Amino acid sequence: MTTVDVASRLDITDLSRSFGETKALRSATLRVAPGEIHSLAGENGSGKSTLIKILSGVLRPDSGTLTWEGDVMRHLASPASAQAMGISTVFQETLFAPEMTVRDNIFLGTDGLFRYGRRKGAELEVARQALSDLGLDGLDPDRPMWMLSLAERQLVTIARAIVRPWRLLILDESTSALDASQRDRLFDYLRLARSEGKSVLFTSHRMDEVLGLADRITVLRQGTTVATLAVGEASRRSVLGHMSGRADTADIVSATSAPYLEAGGLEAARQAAGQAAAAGTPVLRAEELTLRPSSRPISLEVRAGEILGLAGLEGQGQVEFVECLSGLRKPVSGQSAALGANGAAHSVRSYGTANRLGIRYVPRDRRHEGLFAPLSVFDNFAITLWSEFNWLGVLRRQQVRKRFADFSESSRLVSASPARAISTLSGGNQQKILLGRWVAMRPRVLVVNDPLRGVDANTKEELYGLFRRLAADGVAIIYLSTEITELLTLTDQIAVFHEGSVVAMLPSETSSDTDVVAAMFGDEHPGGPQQAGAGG
Amino acid sequence: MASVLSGRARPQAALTPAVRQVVQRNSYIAVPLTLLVVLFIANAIVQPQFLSQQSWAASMAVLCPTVLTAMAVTLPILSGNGGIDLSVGPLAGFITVLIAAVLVPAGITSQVIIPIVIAFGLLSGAINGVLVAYVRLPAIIATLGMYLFYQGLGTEVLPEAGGSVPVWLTKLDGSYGPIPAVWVVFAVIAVVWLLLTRGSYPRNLLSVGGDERAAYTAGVHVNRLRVVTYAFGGALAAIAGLMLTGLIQGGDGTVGPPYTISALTAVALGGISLAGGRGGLLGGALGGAVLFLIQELLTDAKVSVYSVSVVNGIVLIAALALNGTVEYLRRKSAAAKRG
Amino acid sequence: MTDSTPVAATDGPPETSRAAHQPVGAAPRNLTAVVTANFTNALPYILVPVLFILSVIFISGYFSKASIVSLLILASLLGLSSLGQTMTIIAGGIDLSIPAVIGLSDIIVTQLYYKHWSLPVIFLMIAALAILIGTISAVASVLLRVHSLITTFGMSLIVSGVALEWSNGATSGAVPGWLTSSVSAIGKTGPIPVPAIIFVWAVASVLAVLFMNRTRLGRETYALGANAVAARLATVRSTWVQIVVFSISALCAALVGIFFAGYSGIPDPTVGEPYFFLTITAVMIGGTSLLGGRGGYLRTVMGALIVAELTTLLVGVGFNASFQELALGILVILLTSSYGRELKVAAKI
Repeated sequence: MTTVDVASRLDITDLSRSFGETKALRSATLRVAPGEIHSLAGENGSGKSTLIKILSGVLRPDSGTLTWEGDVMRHLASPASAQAMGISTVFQETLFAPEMTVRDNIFLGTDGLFRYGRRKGAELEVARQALSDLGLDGLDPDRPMWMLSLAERQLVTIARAIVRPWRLLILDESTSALDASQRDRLFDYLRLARSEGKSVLFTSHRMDEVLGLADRITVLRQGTTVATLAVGEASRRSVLGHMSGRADTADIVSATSAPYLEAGGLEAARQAAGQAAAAGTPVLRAEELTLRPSSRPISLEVRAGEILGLAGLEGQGQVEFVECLSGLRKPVSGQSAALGANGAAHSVRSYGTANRLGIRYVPRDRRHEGLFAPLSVFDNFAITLWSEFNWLGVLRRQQVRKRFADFSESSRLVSASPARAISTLSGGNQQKILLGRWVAMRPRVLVVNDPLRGVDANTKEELYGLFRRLAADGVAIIYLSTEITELLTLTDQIAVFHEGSVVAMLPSETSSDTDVVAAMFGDEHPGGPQQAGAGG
Repeated sequence: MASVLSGRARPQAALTPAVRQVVQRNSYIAVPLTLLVVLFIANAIVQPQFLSQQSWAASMAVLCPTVLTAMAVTLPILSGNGGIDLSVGPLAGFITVLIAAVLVPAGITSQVIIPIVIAFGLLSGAINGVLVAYVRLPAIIATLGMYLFYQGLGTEVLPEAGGSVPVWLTKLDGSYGPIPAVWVVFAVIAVVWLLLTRGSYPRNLLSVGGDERAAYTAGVHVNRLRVVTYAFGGALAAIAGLMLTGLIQGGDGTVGPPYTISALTAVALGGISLAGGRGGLLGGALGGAVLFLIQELLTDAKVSVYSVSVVNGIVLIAALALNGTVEYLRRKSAAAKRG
Repeated sequence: MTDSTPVAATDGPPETSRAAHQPVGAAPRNLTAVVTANFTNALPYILVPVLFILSVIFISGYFSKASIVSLLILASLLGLSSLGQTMTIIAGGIDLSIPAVIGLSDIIVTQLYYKHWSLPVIFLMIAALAILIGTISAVASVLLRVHSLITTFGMSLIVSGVALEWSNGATSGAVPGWLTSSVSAIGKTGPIPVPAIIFVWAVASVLAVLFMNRTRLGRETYALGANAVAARLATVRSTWVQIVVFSISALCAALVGIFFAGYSGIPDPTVGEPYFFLTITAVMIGGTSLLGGRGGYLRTVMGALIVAELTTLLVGVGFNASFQELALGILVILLTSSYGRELKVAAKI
């Protein structure tokens, strides 16, 4: 497969699109061939999502042309027409009607406004087949969507896309909620579809997915296509280089979730933090914490300055654990307790208690659980601080402004007026503000639930630095992540969850990807069989 | 491969899938249905004549506008995204004026009046739909504007209640030969009902109400569906106006507003969420019937007219409490199963 | 509804509502978009003087102290009624019980003063009742997990029923003279020839704006309306905020009821009925979105002035009550079409 002109199914030339005064796309070019899996790579703000919205009929470009199977057009009229043309899209955000059944959600939009006489039997068959292809064999299609887990919901939206007759499937970060095994199953399906001559266009922040699945990679940077590479010629380094435009490869390597093998600053910093952790007093203790009736109790201790990682396949209890520690959920039995300076234990009974004890929780879903979209950057930052900085209810703004300035500096936030609407910030910067809201409260324990998901490499680097500095200052951090290399690089040890309890506590410095994955699958003896495509 | 589905036995597995789905989809009517039965019995006890033939016919005549306006409001509410139609009452009120002061005096025959009224309702609803879907006004504001418009127009065209009503309309609480007039009316409503509750329309409506973005990206014509929904709501409100004309034996531009209030109360009583995506016409109709029975019970029990308002308010809040608890328990048990 | 699947950040600034988009530091690329956004943002502020000028042109004798004072009295009554409404809307709710509380307050003042109760006691009682009503509405919304639209609607049915029952056809009532003077066009406040209600409104407006911008509760109100889930996680005192804003709303309604009593002197439980929708109209015309989390009371002040000016203008050019209503309906739709439009479905993805 070369990068020379191949007969294309989809051909995009010079696409541009602005929102108000911002140019999201300047000149995007893309060619997808039949029987090809094509990856669209780019940082946050590169224009990927805008391009996908144009391809799926949600948006219209300002200029440029689209050629679909030989027909030239200026735009796609609507998602309905895109589907009629054979383009099926699975969006970043898992969209579904919660009260309706799996089957209704899968066939959503396939019938007109007033159509009578539905072939229920045939539909059921097709739905079952699609679900089975994606690994959801046991799922009852008549179940209402709100009963499903996050991963099941995402897979149902993928099923929705594949039951329509498609020739191009677009997947925008569609594996975000899936665990390693579900992802593998999906990839098998995609490869099968490729062998049948269909095309796939996907975006992902995970380099392993991009390099492992794609035939060709198109890289966008600041709204323009900067490179198209065949996977044979591409490497993690070159792709990231194009994405960030940075020539200094050392920077690039350290900015990725590359293995812990590189020398220099990172290692030293972690060792320093590790030493601090060894000396730190315990600040949080899980005492016989049982998450589910059938799971084993969890007992562990977290020390000041320690970064404890939590890993596991989807739904294995790590999220519930994090919620128990933060007071958002009551365990079946046992408790978690904050430990005072004199060793006194204060049980964490509620979210309010946890906060009063200095345990701060950073939620996973930025958009629904963190952001106040219509409010300014400053308001989003300060909302937690007013509880501390008020005199009989009147705000003490000067002091909060100072905390904001301090945090902006330490997290290298793009300097801009704090009065801006937070919606004008990039995803990475938004995440910084949402972290800052809690960091500025000077927590004793910071519980973070997958904070760097979907954040670009540069911001990740800056935030890793922030976490390490916090740990060095004595903050205990409990860090849940679905990216194994991130855990290995950042944390001191990793608690691996399986079936609702901790099956292994692996020291990050000396463990490997394989050890973690093996534990995730329940293997309590590290060094077990290799799992292809998992993690890393 | 780790599966996220546990193998725990589900008690519902005993029911066949079809039955289970029907039960699940219609579980929202549990509370209004219970209330209906309780109130029916209460009414029968307090006023035994309640069950007699003449009383029935008269009841139906009064019940119709309430139930129809409730159904009219249910449709936009189901479409979600803040959907509502405040103009149903004044529209019904204006229809009485239209018939009694414009159409009849102009010599229009009865056979033509009914289609005109329905067409007017469809048009008015469609205007609401366009304002909400295409102009993208908040529904509460768009329909509020229309509410004020019809109020003003009704009292402008007919400042004093009056006008003339065709003979056949006054017979609504009587009968056409052997067939009680109300059954004819019900037949019409039944046809509309079937149209709206079978086939793909209700599924599309509920999916738009559930998440309009999911529906849109899946290929549903969301805007078109909204316009159609409001149009049908308008038609139902217009039919309510037709019934109302027969009931008050004339035209009166001021009778509308209480019907908007009762329609909203009925919807809440009917277990329908204001957020949309859950419920159905049945809920609206049941809610209207429950409201009517409360009215009847209080009148029969010789309770002061003012207390009716208070009781309506208390029943509303009590019904909400019940609905809310049922919903909360349902979600909690499912979340526990999900793990 | 979508679930909380972790989502990558939006790629570049999403298409937010036009009014909310602030220009970034660098030179704006699309000048028309910026200008339009800022214009629609400022429209309510522009309309106030524009409508005033139009009224002066079309109505003879409009530019006199008497008409201006009358206009301001009208605006004050509406503005005060809408004060609490603004807060409940910013908090993500709405208060439909305002007219009922106005009526109840009117009844209590006229009847009890007629029975020679002492004024401070009457006012305290009204205030206590108002706080009780607001608190019940708020708590009911929280406990029943239902939008305040419905709970306040239910409260309004209960309160108006109680008010009607209480007054029960009574026609006799009395109010102190200074109260009547406070809402009269020829009333004075001390030496200043302006009725007291206008001053009360001015003071209340300043307090309201300070409350929303400079107090913890005020910021929590915005957060609650912007994203209730995130608010709870950010340790915002959600229930307390609702209790406070709904109590303020009821207190303002009670205050307006007292002024109405001064206006007519006779008990009238239905006196607040026109305000069932007018408060929402004033808030919306001012540019505060029903979605919550944005806007402010200053805008509602503009909205109240605009509604008062429109009503006066319509009466002045000879529209009767019916025509006024008709015209108001059309105007509401037209005005909101210019700056109150919601996002397209496509833009929300």
